[in-house]
Amino acid sequence: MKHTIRSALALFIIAGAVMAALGVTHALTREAAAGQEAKQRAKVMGQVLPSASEFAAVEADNFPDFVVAAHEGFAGGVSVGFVVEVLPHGYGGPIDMMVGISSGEPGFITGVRILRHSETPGLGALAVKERFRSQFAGKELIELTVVKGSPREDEIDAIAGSTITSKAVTNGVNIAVRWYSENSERIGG
Amino acid sequence: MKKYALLIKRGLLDENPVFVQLIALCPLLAVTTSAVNAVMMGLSTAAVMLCACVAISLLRRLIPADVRIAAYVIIVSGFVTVLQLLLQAYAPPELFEALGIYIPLIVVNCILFARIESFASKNDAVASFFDALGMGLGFTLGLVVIGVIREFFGSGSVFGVEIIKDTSSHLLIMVMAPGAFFTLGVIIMLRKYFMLRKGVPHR
Amino acid sequence: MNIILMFVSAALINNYVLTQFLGMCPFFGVTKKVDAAAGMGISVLFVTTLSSVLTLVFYVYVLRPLGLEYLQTPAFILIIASIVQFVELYMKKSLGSLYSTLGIYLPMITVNCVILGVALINTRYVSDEHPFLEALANSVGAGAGFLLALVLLAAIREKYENHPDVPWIFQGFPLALFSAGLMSIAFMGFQGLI
Repeated sequence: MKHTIRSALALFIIAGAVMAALGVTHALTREAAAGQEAKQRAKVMGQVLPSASEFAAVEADNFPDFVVAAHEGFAGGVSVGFVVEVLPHGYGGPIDMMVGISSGEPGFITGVRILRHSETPGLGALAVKERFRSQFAGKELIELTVVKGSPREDEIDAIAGSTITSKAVTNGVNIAVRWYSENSERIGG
Repeated sequence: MKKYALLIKRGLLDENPVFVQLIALCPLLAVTTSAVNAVMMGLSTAAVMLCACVAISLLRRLIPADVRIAAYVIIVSGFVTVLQLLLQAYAPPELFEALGIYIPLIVVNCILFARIESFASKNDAVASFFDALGMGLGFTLGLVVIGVIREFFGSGSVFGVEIIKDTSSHLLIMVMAPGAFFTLGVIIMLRKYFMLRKGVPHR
Repeated sequence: MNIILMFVSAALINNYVLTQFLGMCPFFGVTKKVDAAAGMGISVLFVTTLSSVLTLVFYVYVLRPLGLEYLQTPAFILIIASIVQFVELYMKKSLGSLYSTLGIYLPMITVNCVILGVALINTRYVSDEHPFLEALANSVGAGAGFLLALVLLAAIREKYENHPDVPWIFQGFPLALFSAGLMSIAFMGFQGLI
C-alpha cells in the first residue's frame, strides 16, 4: 500500500510539474504565435492581390455564411480590388483560404491561397498546391464547377484522389465571388 | 572525454538509428520529401531527445520502477508540447504546416524510448546528454540523406536550390509515398553490399 | 453517404500505413507471419476505435471549453495508455483465449503512431455537424486499413522470406521495403474511387 501511494505521488508530482511548465510556455509564446499568424496573413494578402500595396479591412455588420472578412486593396490610394477570406468545409474540416479579386471592368480572380487546412497529407493536401490553385488566376467572375479532366472556361480540373478538397476550394472561390458581386457596388469598389 | 566522443560516434555511425537500427521509420519516411523538412524534423526530434534524456537521467532515482513508462510518457509529451508551442511562435509558418502532425507524434518515436529505457534511465546526466546528442544527430543525418535524395530526384532541387529546371525529367514518384520506401530500400542494400566488401558479417 | 466515403478514404485511398507512414514499426516488425500480422492489426483496430472516441470526448467536453487545446498530446497519450492497460486487464480476466492470441501485442500498442495519429487528426473534425460519427468512421477505417496493409505485406513476405532464389542482398529488410513501395503504388489506384 505504501509503495502504491509513493508511485502515485511521484506520477502526480511529475504530471503537475509538466502541466505547470506547459502553462508557462503557452503564456509566453501566445503573443509571438499570434504575431506570426498576423504577419503570415498580411504576406498572403499581398500574394493573392499583387497589384495592391496597402489593405484596409472592409467594415460590415455581418458577413454571409463561410465569409470571414474582406479587405480592400489600394495601389497609390486608388482601390484596385478585394481580398476575401473564406472558410469552406473540406474533407477534414474547414479550409482557411483567401481569394483575390480585381475590381476592373470586367473583374477577374487574381489569386487563391490556402492558409490552413486539415486535409489528408499527400492526397487532399495536393489540392492546395500551386498546380491546382493556379487554375483560378485570371478566371472571370462566374460560378465555377469542378470536372475531372479537360476543363472548359468555367470549369476547374479536379485533383485525382482529392475531389472533395478540389470541390471545397472551388466552392470557397465561388462564395468569395458571390460576396464580391453582391457588395462591390455598395462599398464603392 | 574520449568516452563522450565515442558515444557521439556510436549514435552517428556504428549504431545509427536509421541505417543500422532501422527504427523510427514513420517520420523518416513521411517528412523527407524535401531536405529542409528533413533537417527541421531531425533537429526537433534531437532537441526533444536531449531534454527528455537529461531530465529522466536526473530523475532516475526518484521515478518508481512500476510506473516508469507512464512517467517517461508524461515527461516526453511535455517536452514535445513545449517544442510545438515554440515552433508555432517562431518557426516559419510553411515549415510548421509541412511537419504538421509529425511533431506531436515525436511522443511515440521509437528511438526516444529505446534511448530512455536502455541508456538514460541507467546512466548519469552527462553521459545521457552525449548519448542523446549522438543518436539525435545520427537520426538527423539519416533524414537528411533521404531528404536530399528524394528532393533531388523528385523536384530537381537540393535544399530548395533548383538544379534540374526541366520539370519533365522529375520523378514525381520519389516525393510521393512509394519513393520513400524505395529510397530506404536501396540505401540498405548499398550498406549490406559495402559491409560485405569490408568483410563485416551482415545482420 | 459522407460517413461511408470517410471510411473508404481512411482505409484505402489515404491508407494510414501506405500513404501517411503511420505505424511503420509494426508494419515491418510483425509482418514475418500472417498470424502475427492479423493479431497486431486486430488489436490496433480495437484500441483505435475505443481510444479515438474517448479522446475526442475529452477534447470536446474538457480541453476545448477550458481553452487547453495545447495539452492534447500529453492528455491523449495518457488516455491511450490507460485504455491499453484496462483492455489488457479485462482480456486477461474474462477473455482468456483471446488474451492468449492478442495479449503479446497489447503492450506494444501504447506507442503505436496510428492510434495517437488518428486521435490527433480527429480533433480537426469537431467543428463539423456529426463529429463523433465521423471520427468513428475515420478511426475504424484507419484501423481496418492498418490491418489490411499488415496482412497483405505478411502474406507477401511469407512467400519469399528465406527463399533460395532471392539474392542475399535483397533478403530481409530491402525486399520488405520494395514490397511496401509496390503496395503503395497499387493503393494509389484507389484514388479514382472518389
